[in-house]
Amino acid sequence: MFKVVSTKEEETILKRAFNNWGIFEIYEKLEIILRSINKKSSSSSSSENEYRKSMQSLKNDNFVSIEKIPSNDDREKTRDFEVYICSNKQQSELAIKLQPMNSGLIIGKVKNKKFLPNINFAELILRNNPKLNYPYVILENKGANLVLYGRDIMGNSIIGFFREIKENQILIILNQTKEVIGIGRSKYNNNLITQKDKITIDNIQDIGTYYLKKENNYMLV
Amino acid sequence: MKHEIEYPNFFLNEYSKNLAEKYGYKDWMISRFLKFIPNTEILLEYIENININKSSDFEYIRTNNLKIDSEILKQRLVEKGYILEDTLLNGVFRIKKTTSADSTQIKKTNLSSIGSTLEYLKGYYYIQDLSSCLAVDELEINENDCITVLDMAASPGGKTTFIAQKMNNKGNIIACEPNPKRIPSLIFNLSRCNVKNTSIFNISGEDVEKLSIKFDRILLDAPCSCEGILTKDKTRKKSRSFKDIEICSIKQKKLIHSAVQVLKANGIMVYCTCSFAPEENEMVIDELVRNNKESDIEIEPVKYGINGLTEFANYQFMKELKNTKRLYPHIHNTNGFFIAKLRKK
Ligand SMILES: C[S@@+](CC[C@H](N)C(=O)[O-])C[C@H]1O[C@@H](n2cnc3c(N)ncnc32)[C@H](O)[C@@H]1O
Repeated sequence: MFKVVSTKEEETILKRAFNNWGIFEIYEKLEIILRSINKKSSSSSSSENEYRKSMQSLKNDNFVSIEKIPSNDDREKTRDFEVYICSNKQQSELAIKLQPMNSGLIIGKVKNKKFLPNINFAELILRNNPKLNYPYVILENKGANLVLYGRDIMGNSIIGFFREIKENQILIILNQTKEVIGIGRSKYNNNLITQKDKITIDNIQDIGTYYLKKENNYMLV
Repeated sequence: MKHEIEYPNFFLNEYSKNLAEKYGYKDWMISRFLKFIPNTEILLEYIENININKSSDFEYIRTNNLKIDSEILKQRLVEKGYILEDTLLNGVFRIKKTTSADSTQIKKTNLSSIGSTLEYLKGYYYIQDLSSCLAVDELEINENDCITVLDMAASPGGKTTFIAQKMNNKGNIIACEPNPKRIPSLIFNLSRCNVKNTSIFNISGEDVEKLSIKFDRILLDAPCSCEGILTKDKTRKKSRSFKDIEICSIKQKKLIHSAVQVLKANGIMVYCTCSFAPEENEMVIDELVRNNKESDIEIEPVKYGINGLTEFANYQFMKELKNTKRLYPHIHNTNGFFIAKLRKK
């Protein structure tokens, strides 16, 4: 179910996330809607099952929601939700009224009161705050290519990084031309992320995995 | 007047049988092609050559202006060694294939496929045939109009993403796709291309009226027999029967009728297919325009291609059908394609 940001708690979580990534000013300008994540769906129709199966094939690809298809009872109970941005008010109203399968651009999820950004959010950050005053790493070309194959990041491939990286922190993975290629999670803090011959950042999501898993013949249309 | 589709056996003759045998098609397909495809044998030869010599193949990319400027994209791909040719649409490039014969043009020999570059994964472009781009271009969308657009048969989103780009991510797009298996690719492509203004409904286009929305523009990229992509999928030489065309034609007529119901007055609808079959193209439009009682529909000229048919076998279509356009691989270096542009009065 799509809905507006309606509780103080939801608003606080989102505002804090925007603030942490240095893009607080754009929060008010965005048309944000939420969709509850339906943890267990008991009664799915066969078309829902088809959809779910296809979505499962995209798992790990956090571009798309894999938990969709809300059932009718649900979800005021759960506080986990996906966050979408719409183009305008008319669209968000329409999404709430007609409950389409998808509307707008998913920018992340809130799980256990924590905002988990996805690649679309990372792009939003970079576009609105190119100062790089948030957790990021820059990779040399070979390391960047490996990320596109879903690989984790070796310390030696990091050629630039945010000075205050903490252990277990979400960060944006950039290539040498400072384009977003993924989202990672640090295994070490500060300089330790550049340790040689060690995986120092786990690849959570990257722009390549989906395509390498699944060659898209249907792209030819 | 309703067109009952005739079984096409009466077209068969020695020549068509010989061609069918030579090029490995079903007889009925060739006998029909000979009736309306200019220089049919050249087309068949052209498709054969693609098999042998990939260089006569064509591939196009469309810049996603929501993410990158087309000149910057072009420069990046040229630096990687791709050869890009401009086309009649801004930001749409033909990827020139090279063979050993013209290897002087190859800057780097180990080029990856155009579908696996970083730029592709970043959503800087969409691999899309020029014919598809031309269909969207006929919708006359200006980026400053805040309009509502229906993409009635949307997955995997090639045209939806182009429409969103033309709208500069403003206004509203409603994208319908009844096949749940095809929805993830649609969602993924919209996301990859940074499209915000689209809502996806898992419904048949025939049910769109239930949404109670009226549209300024409608694209009906109809499900079809796909004859026009023989160059890309050769199994279609043998795998289809005339019955398939008939089934598609019936479905297309229903869809286009539903589309007209939700089109605003003065709204524009583009109907297109990647089929050569007149039953899926001119006949669908002819029947709609003749039979639609509620409103007048004008068939406006499409800019590029060969004029649509005004007759086929025993059928006489309205003379305005010449305003629709057909595209052929051997003439236009595109998929086989049909585009009609309609305006509701
Ligand atoms: C030619 S493809 C569309 C390609 C798409 N427009 C693009 O450019 O990427 C036709 C689509 O129509 C869908 N379809 C089939 N029956 C339909 C119906 N009754 N209403 C709407 N769409 C339908 C098919 O599942 C298929 O995805």
